[in-house]
Amino acid sequence: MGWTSDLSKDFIINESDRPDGMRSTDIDIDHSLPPSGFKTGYEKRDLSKFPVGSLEGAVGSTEFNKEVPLIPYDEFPERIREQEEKKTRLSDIRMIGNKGEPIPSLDQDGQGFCWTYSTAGGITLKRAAMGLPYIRLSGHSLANKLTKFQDRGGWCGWSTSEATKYGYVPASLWPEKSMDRKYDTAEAWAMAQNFRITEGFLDMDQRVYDMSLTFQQIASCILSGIPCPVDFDWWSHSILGMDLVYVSDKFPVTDIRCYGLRIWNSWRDAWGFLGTGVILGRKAVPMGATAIRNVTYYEGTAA
Amino acid sequence: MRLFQSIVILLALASTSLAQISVRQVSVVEVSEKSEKIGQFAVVPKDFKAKPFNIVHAKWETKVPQERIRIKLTDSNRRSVPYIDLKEEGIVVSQIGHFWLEVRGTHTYFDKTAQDIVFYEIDEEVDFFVDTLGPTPDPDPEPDDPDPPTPDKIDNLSVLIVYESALLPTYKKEHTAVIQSTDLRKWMNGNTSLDAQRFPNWRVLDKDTVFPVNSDIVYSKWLKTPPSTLPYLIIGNKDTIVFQGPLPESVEEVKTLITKYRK
Repeated sequence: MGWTSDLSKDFIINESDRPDGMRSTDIDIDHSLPPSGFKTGYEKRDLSKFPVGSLEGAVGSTEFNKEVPLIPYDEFPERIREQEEKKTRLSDIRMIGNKGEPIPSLDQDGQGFCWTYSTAGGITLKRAAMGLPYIRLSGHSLANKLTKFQDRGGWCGWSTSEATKYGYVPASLWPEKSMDRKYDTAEAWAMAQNFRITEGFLDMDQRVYDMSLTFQQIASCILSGIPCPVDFDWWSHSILGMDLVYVSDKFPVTDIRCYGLRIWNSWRDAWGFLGTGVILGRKAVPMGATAIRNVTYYEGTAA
Repeated sequence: MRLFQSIVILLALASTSLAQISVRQVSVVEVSEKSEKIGQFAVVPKDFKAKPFNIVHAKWETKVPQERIRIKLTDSNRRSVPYIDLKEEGIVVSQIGHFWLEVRGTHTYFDKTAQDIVFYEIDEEVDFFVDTLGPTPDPDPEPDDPDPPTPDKIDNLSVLIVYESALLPTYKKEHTAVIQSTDLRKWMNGNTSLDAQRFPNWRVLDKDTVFPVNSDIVYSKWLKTPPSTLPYLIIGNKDTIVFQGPLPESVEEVKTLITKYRK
């Protein structure tokens, strides 16, 4: 067997999908279940009403696909290997992004706002990559603005596209998990303008629940340091895609079973490995996805 | 994408009357042809240590063939220097210095075939006439100092790596490795200056990054003139830029450059 990613320290979310037979003993445990008190929040699609439009190969009707540069599949294994050796993955940047320490995972406890937290994580990670100070963002701020303080699900396409207008209020001004309307102030949203997405790959021809990227597009982005919020229908959950991992060399490099996606969840650091986990194989192909290329520059304290 | 190509430029010294008094051959390191721009390259004398003339900045506009291109000579501080445009014959500049030559063209220009850039091919030598309005150079200069001068070292050093996020997946993986390097980030934490909040003065930014309105942030100031070639590296402080050029393809090269200019 040739080189593959070392996943010995990783939290594998879907063990049963390991392609090489090297499965752990806790295969029957469903690692995708949220901890007590937590929710997911991705809204299940009515596929009869809104047909699948995000699986690889299915999105091809718009000019959008031509705009996202692709890294060839045959370069994936070597690039993954180099990134792991040189520690140039987004997860590596996360591990030093808080004055040399890991950036803590977000905490959506209580409400089904995963779809705003996945994008908040992407902005946080992009700021770290830019060299900007770590400022914790409130996923609840944008979620409550969009849902009018209703606890309901959504999609990363919704939060990403709205984050280009409103941004996120820092947790110092709108505490995480708070549904309190007293934080919904003009001053808070003026500050949120400093935490907007300014450039990304969003399929604006699609409705927010259909905004997606192919797996190759996602892989090309995260191999290039562009974080990708991703929605999974099977998990009813939205999280942040950080790294591509090489799981098996037993298949052609174009086979999805070769790969996995290391994701950053919003269920605190206690979940998985410091809040991260790996989704293997076909389940790593999301139902919806966006890419966060650039965010506003803000080097203040947001206090 | 066209391949890199080297060209040779003859740099001629002339008197105020432009009578050529000596010729010094210089070579262009390389010309990157990608997307809409030819790229930026340095005009460096082969015997780099021998330099009666070093830095000149100027712009040169001409038509090659039927298309407009712009040539800019810049120094490490991006200062402009008065010049006289002699069109096909070359340019006249009024002070002595190192030449950094930047060439840009329009999109349509580069949509065409390589024949359109015949102006830059190696057998098409370009003569630059440097009008030494100052003291006339010694026709028999003394042997060069074997020890090159120490570069300007500065306080409050800041570092900016510039890229275009839309093109990141198309960058060489060596460049991506530098842009994403945690090793370089950790090293820069200890080798760049600190701002008022004790935060290290380095950034890795998209060229289109949006800054706060009326910002006096040094990176905002530097990005007001977008680099012609990306990815790009700029080293300086709020008063001056001591280095700018294409991003090296290794972390160690970047560290060496920063060390070179850090006081």
